[in-house]
Amino acid sequence: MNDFIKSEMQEFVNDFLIESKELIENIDNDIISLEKEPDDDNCLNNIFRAIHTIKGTSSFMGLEKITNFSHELESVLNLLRNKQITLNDQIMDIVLESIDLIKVLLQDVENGFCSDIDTSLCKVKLTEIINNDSSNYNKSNMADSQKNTDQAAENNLENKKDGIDIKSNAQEYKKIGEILVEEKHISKEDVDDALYKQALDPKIGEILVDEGKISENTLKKALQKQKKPETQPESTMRVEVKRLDDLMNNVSELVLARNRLMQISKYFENLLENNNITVKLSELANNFDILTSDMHASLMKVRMIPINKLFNKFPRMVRDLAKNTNKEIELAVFGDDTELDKSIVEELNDPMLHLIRNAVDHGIESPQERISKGKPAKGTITISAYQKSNSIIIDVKDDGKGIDAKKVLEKALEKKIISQEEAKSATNSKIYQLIFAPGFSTAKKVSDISGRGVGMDVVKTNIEKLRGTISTSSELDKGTTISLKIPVTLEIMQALIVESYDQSFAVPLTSITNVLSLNEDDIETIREKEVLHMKDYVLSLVRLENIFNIDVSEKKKKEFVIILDSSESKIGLIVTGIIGKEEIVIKTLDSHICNSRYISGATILGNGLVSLVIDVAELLKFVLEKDI
Amino acid sequence: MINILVVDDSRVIRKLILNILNDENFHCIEAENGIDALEKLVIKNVDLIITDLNMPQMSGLELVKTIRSSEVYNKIPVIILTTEKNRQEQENCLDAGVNIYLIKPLSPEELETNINNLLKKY
Repeated sequence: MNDFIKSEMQEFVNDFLIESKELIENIDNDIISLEKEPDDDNCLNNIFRAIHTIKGTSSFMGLEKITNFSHELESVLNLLRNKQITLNDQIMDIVLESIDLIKVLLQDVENGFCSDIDTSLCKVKLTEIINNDSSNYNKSNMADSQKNTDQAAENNLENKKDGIDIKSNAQEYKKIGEILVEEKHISKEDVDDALYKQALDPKIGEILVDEGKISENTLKKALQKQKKPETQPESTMRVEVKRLDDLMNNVSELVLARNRLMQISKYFENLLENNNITVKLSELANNFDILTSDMHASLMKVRMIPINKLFNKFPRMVRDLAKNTNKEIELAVFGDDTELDKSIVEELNDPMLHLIRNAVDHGIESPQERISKGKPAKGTITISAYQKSNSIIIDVKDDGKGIDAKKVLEKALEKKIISQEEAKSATNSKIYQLIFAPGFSTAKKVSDISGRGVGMDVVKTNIEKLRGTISTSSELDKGTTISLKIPVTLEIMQALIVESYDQSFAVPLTSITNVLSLNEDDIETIREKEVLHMKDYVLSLVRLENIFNIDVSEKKKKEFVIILDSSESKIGLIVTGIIGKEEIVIKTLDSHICNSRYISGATILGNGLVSLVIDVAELLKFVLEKDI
Repeated sequence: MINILVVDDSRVIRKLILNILNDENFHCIEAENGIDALEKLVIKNVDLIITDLNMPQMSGLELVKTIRSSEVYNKIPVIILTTEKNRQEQENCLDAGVNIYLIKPLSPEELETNINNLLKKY
């Protein structure tokens, strides 16, 4: 292989490693969610797709060991996905073990050598699952191979450590001689002289001390300095937020102008092929496209602030609240370096305060109660933030008494939030939603912290204003987790432009899980409602033309269904055409122009036409209300 | 100049394909998934699509179905490039209007030959 091809191949391998590591990191999060909710198809699909991608790419690179191994794992995941086998602890362990093994294999590629990890044992286990032969499965095998993996991982870790140390020695640390010369303790010649001697004895500092050129103290100080590389002072400046907001507005307009320019350029390309000016226009448009995207991205970065600006308040608050309520509470915060748009962080302040107050007040029990339940006297509230594709997830988790679905239901009936009929068929997740209803509060006594029945309602409205969603999971006496999902930015977003009988709508891309084309006989009717049978669930359908009373003079033959997902439910939205994806800028509409609750605003498309932006949260709520 | 839309959720695979095709008289446009590909179709002239099957949000098969039902893009030839060896999946793709179904990995020459053969027909 000549050097050129070699170096080019190395570049691809590096890219592959970066991509695969990202994928594996995301899988780790998905697996944790999957453990909590084994029926979560989304998580399973994500894991499957990641392994599938690693398999596909590694096969191109000729990394056979990874390809073959991930193929086996993919097969098992596929069986899980198709519900041919069910996920149990044993399979989960093997899947986790396999993923760890892939990590080790990737590390091997990065280190550029092949360690002697044995994939065969784990592979046999995977094959056993595939052949549905897991009953014969030998426990001791598992322990053995786990040891193997651990050992290999450990070895790798050590190798890696060495690698980093060497690198940082050479790059970040100043040489001791340089420091001494800089501080004028000795001359450069002395150092050169000592360096020559160092070839015989490796410690230059000691040589210099021995020769009486510097004192031992000076050496010690210099050595300390060597350990702490000088850091450059941060160069920052304060900017008024309004100026940034103005700039953001202008960039939003620029994005729209860009979309328009791109389409006009394409129109001319089609009209006047091979014309000199058309080619120039198209080049300019492409340039403009890249510049606009870059500008948007950099401005976004300027506006991002770490969420710890908000989280920093909580430790003190929890401490005070705990004292007031005579409870013992520890607060754990993770991911406080996660970044969000400044305006979103500000809007999150109130909802987060309410959620934490609620966890302290209603979640965590008194120390006596906890001890009688066999729990540690000190309760824990965990706040964690992390990014998942274009959204930020914030979990507020307590290990308190959990939500008593029965009590919630009683209270909701008493307050006439739901009817007797609805209460009968309500599932746990629907009951948890009642907590967020206006005027709901289960606290027997109104305390001064929470329990006025306005808090959770406010939380929900605030989060929805940010186009976010809330989901709740809870287990009696184990605790409650409330999870917020919020888009990273507000003004500019990716949207799918769809059509319903010649009227176009924009659907935010973050809420779309899938797009399918429909055949007429795919749709079935259950109790006068249209549904679509998916692999393992039934999807209720709504027609866009029905929601907005669009005139249907002639029924269109071709239809598509867009699957919208919030944490609570899924629905299929039927449209008659898919136009494409576009970066849109939402302009809010005055209520006298548009009074539909399912519209969050309007946008100007690249073709110059105005399109309404669908409020997915409201739409899902509408369908859910109809369902109860 | 032939414009080729390369659709794959793996950045590395896209880069590899780009690398193979940039030697020839091709210009490549990248897309991460089916929906992304639809966006690129609106703003770029595309002569041929090479797409993976299994992708988030909109799969390769759905992309093919969508463009085959569109009045503007239904003539664009499509090559599927996937690791999926499943017979049924292949048939589904061909039924939906895929022109060529290729299985990864394959040699650069194979890919180029297939593209050139397909372009000759259109």
